[in-house]
Amino acid sequence: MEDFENTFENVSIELRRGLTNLVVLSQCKRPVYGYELVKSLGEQGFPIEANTVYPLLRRLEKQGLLSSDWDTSTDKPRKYYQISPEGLRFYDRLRAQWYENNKTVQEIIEE
Amino acid sequence: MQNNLIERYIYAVTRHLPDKEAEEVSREIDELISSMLEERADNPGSEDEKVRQVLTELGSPEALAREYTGRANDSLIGQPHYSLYLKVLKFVLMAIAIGISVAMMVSAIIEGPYPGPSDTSLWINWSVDAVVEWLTSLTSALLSGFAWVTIIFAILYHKGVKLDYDPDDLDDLPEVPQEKARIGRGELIGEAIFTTLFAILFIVMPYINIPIIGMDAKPISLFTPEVLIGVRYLLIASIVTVILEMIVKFIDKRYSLRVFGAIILTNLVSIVTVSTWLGNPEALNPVFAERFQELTGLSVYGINGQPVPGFGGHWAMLPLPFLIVIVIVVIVAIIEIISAGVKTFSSKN
Repeated sequence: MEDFENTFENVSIELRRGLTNLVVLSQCKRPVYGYELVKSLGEQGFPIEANTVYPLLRRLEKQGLLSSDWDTSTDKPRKYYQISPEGLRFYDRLRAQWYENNKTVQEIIEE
Repeated sequence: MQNNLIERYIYAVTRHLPDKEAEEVSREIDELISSMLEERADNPGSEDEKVRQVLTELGSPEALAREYTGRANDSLIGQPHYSLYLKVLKFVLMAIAIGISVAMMVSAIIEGPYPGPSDTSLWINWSVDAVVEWLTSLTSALLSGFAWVTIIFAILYHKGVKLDYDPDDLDDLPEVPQEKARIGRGELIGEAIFTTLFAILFIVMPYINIPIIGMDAKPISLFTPEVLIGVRYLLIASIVTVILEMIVKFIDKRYSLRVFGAIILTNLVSIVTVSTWLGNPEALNPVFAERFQELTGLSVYGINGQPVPGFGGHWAMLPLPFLIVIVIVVIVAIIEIISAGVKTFSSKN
């Protein structure tokens, strides 16, 4: 049965991968730092590992969807990320796509 | 000690990243680790234990580094280039192996200090030298062929060069060969092995060819070396036509007109070669024939010394097994040409 579990794990990771982008973008409407995001998403029931979130934030920044700033005013410097205008446009479209897919898929699998 | 551990962890993650990125990523991970430690501040346990917990939770540095470098374009040659790369590589390596082997064989015979008929130790030296030289050239040629094909495909892949793989027009897609017109890989490998053995025994070492041990004080060859040397160019022509046939079969993978033509040529050349060679009354080593008669009381020529009925001239008095081989080669050639013709033309419709 190990194969079953492995396969399930892989497919469910695949299923979440795209959604993670959507969820992370949604949380960046105000400046957030990485670990804050890890904690708040965990509390809201969408746990993501810290070792996934940090590289993801960097990738989104490279793609121009997020911008970042180091806050060095305290003795613990933190890197804050915020969604860019381009990112906002991207997020709106992705969200609409998700609603549509969700609706269609639901209709299909609930037949 | 714990700081040292964190530094070592961060270094392990970032050391393979590009310099400008490594610095930023180091700061980020440092921030992440201190945030995670901060959260555990009130937990029981020593500082060192907490550091170890946090780093364990972050996972192996290698996995984290992989997340940072991203998944795209992280292979030397990816799809769709990889499939074509494999095909081209196989073809190039096979062509190199055949080319080098034929070239070495010809040069070993023509240029090498070809030892005389009977000196066994000279023969062993000569064979060892030839094999060593063949292996060295083969290894270096295969390695450089491999390197070139790989480098070229790596560049094509990373430059994103489009392969002429999906035709714009659906009608341009190649036809699927019918099942019976396909040529299997196994068939080709079998032919290649047989051809190599044949070439080594009869062209490269005519004085040894098929050694018969135990009939005399020293091993004697089954076939007369001088006759083999006399038909050497016919033997080489047979090998060349067989190789040509294999290359055409390898490229077309089915019975095409070209394959059919190659099969006709190969079979005609082998009929000429076999009947010239084994049709020579001296082809069987006379020493062997003599010993055979002494031991068994039977003559190998004709049917125990009597002419074979149905055959005229010197053919009737050839060693019977040779006559049978010649007849079989002719019959097999005719069958092969007819069946290849049927496969070629029936699949055209």
